[in-house]
Amino acid sequence: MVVGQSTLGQAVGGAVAGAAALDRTARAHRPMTVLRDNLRTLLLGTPLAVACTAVVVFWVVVAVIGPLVVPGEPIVTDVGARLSAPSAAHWLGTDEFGRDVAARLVSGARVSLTLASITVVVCLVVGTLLGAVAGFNERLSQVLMRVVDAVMAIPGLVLAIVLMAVLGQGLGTIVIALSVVHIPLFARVAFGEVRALKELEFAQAASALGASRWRILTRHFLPSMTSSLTVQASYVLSTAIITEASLSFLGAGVPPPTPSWGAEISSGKTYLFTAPWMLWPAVIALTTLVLAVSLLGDRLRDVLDFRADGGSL
Amino acid sequence: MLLAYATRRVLAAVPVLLIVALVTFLLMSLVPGDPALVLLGDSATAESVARLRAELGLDQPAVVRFLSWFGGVLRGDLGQSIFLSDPVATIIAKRGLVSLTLAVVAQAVAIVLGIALGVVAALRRGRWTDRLLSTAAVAGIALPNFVVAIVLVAFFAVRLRWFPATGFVAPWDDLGRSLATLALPVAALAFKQAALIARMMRGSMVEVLDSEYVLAASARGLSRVRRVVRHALPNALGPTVTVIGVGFGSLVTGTVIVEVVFGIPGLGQLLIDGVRTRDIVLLQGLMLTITAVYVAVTLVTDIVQAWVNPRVKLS
Repeated sequence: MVVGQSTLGQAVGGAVAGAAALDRTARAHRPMTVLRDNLRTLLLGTPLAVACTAVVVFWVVVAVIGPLVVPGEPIVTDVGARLSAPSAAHWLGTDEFGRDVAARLVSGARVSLTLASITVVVCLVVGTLLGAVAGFNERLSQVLMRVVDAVMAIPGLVLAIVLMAVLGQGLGTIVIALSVVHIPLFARVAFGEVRALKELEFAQAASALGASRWRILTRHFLPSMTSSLTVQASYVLSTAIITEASLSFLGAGVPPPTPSWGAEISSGKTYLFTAPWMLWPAVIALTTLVLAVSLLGDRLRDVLDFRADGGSL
Repeated sequence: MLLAYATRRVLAAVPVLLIVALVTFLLMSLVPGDPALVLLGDSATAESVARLRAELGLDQPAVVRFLSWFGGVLRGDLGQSIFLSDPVATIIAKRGLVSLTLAVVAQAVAIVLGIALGVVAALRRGRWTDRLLSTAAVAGIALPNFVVAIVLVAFFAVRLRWFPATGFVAPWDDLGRSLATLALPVAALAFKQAALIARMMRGSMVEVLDSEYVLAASARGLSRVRRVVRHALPNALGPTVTVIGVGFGSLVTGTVIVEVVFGIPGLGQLLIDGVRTRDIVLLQGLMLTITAVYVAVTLVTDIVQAWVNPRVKLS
């Protein structure tokens, strides 16, 4: 989803104008407790929110216990039973190698969710650190932010594909590739926030009292930054899921035979006529998860007051 | 004033492109595998590999290689592809034209559709038309391109047989068949772009419709159509222009995927093939070109935005 135009729009605009684009006066942000108080409204406030939360919870549960519940093996091939329709033994039938589709679906859930979550955490930590360092250090920021702008100027999927070519296929390399694509966004947000916050009096007072920059960052700045960082994190989560699926769809993502929804959609497409049970479960799975995460992310932005486009949902 | 702003923006873009060229080159130099070895295959001996490497210029130090490549880029020469027989610039130009056609048509359709639907949703806000359109917009933005593409193929190409599932015919070759082959890919691409534009349009239109000057126009007795088209719409278009520029990034990404799904011989397919064969020179040129186009589009959007909305120039 196109997150708060205030950040992505400015960030892209800043891609050609340099770091100056994010210059804005600091405002006191709502600290994280606002999120905690509103968590119930966020997740369960409207029927739509309830549905989205239910879907996300469903897929998390499936990812965790699915492989234990579904009979059948995601990787073991059984050429004799290839392309067989759903049955008691194979709940969603088998694919072209005789592998159980349902088992691959739930394993794919585990893969997608794990990869996306780890990516978000990595981006959050590394991006925030990078942006904060640049925010504190004027001269370093010139160089650092230009590099960030340059990386952001390369369209995400293109960069991810090329990185996968350089790094080779593997679960770890996917996390690295996805992280490299999304860290610049966090870096920009953190940079803007730190740069603005350090002009405020409480920061200058803390510094005068002898607090180290690290202490100022962690004790004083981070609580104010959490809302914008959380919004970015929600955006990156849904984008990471989609990018990983796209990479796997193109054959540049999760290495076979590890299951991934994107890869299953790609192979299912070939057997659209003869074995539709290969394609549609993965399509429905990906669609529902992505929609639910995106909608919850939108809602999060509404709750934290970040929307700039006045959408109705 | 506008010229000064435009110049500033263009100058700011130069270092970005330079760094992108550097990053691209650095990445490519990390690609494992020796192209000379791959090219020679079984007949590779130590001397022939060394000779081919010298021929391809692969044995020079990195800085020299970068400068000679970049020097070539500035002259318009992107080097010679390792695995295909043409110079990279020629390949990119040919394939780029295909991708450009697809992208431009899709974006045009998306702009028209997005603005129209956004305005309709704003005018009927709160009612079921608005809800329906807003839901469709959310779906369009959130769904991955290939899912939309596959659903379209499954329904319109396989089941209804209205359009072909793969292939590409250029409009200047055969307009009728071109439209048929373009229909589904353009639909897949335009769905997301139109959703982005429509959502932004609806938002800014709602804001504008609530403003005082529209109310004043109504009080003066202007008809609904005149109020909307002549007074509200031009002011609501401002943020939408930004979205069109921002959306271009996802248009590029979408084009890559859609080209693979529909078997269209464009830059997206080229990228995937280049990655598979590890054609470093091709990938370098490709990545640089795609990024340069993206930066240029963003630049143009920013300048148009400044022209439409003078307040932007002054910030």
